[in-house]
Amino acid sequence: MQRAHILSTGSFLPDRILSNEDLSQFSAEARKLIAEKTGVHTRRHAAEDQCTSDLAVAAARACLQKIDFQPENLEGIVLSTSSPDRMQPATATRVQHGLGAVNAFAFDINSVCSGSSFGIAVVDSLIRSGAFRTILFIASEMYSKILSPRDFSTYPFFGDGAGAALFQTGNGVPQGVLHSCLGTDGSRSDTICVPGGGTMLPFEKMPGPRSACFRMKGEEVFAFTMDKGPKIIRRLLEEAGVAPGEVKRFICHQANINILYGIADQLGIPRERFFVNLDRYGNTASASVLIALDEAVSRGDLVTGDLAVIAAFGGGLSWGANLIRM
Amino acid sequence: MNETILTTIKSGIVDLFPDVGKIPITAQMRLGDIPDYDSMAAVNLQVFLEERFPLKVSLDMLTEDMTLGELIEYIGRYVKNN
Repeated sequence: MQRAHILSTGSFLPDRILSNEDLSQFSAEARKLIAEKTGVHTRRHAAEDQCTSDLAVAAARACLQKIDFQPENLEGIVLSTSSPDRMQPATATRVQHGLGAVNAFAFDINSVCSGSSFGIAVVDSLIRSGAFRTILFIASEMYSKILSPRDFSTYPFFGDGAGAALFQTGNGVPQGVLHSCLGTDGSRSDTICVPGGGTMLPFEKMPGPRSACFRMKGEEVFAFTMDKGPKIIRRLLEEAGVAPGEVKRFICHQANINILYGIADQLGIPRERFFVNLDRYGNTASASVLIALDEAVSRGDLVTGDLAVIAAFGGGLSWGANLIRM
Repeated sequence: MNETILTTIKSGIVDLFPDVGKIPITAQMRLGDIPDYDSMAAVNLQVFLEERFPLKVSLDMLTEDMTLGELIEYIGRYVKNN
């Protein structure tokens, strides 16, 4: 069985740190609500002259340099982003050039915040097909540049960052992606979106600049994740024949601390098995899972042989989960 | 003056809450009539009001039950006294 196993991980967070108190466009009483509602205390914002591909290249370099893997040996780069450099071409193409991965194909996927889970399934499928041996999967997001700074329902909660994982065919080793489950409900595609700038609402027809900003219906999203989050994890483990107690760490999309703990409580799993870094980085959309995975690996929370569950949910609406033996 | 304030508030509501669509925005409208009006929306309304008018308004005031008429009166009194 040619599983895709993880050779290395990496991440990159921009230097600029914004605390809740730095968000002076909101009143003091409003700023107090940020941590209370989501658990976010600080977030990172990219520099003015940085774009999504810059963060992706930095995360990719961190991943590859850890094991001295030369970029020219990469066969493919898959990039998850919902905040691309441009509408086209794929942001992954600039990443390929920036890395010097001259022999790699490169394309983007966009499943908003569940992009990492979808991306892991895609990369796993490419490797399992036998057609490719080594693919770099990156998730990079720069929501600070697609949010309205005066929108309290979004601006305080998101941050910028990128994560990367290098996948290679395992050739008989027990490690690798063991199983994936994905789902979509397109009837709710308006719940999380950037309405303008595409063919549905071209720029010249936008009523105002806010149409080009990310928006979401918060209460509906919360209810959706509390419904789908536990279900997708249960389904993943049942289909894989794995008991929850066998899983060392749950690496979930870092949207909201109340969602993470709510999912843990519904599943009857101790909260401390759910990795948390949203307090420091906010919601980094599809990058959150790979950033969290890299941190968990770097600090020894996940070592070779451990089982990890990845779970993510986001715009589409979409949801996904992956079971990985590290 | 109240008509001017209502006009300003109307434009703000349409910009902040695009899903308000064809709901008539009148002095009788409750904030809770705005689709998806919640605590986050209240903060957005607070930011808008404090930028457009020389006033401070607390989130406690911007409840679902507050009508635009009550909001206009508050703004009118604040502007007159300050």
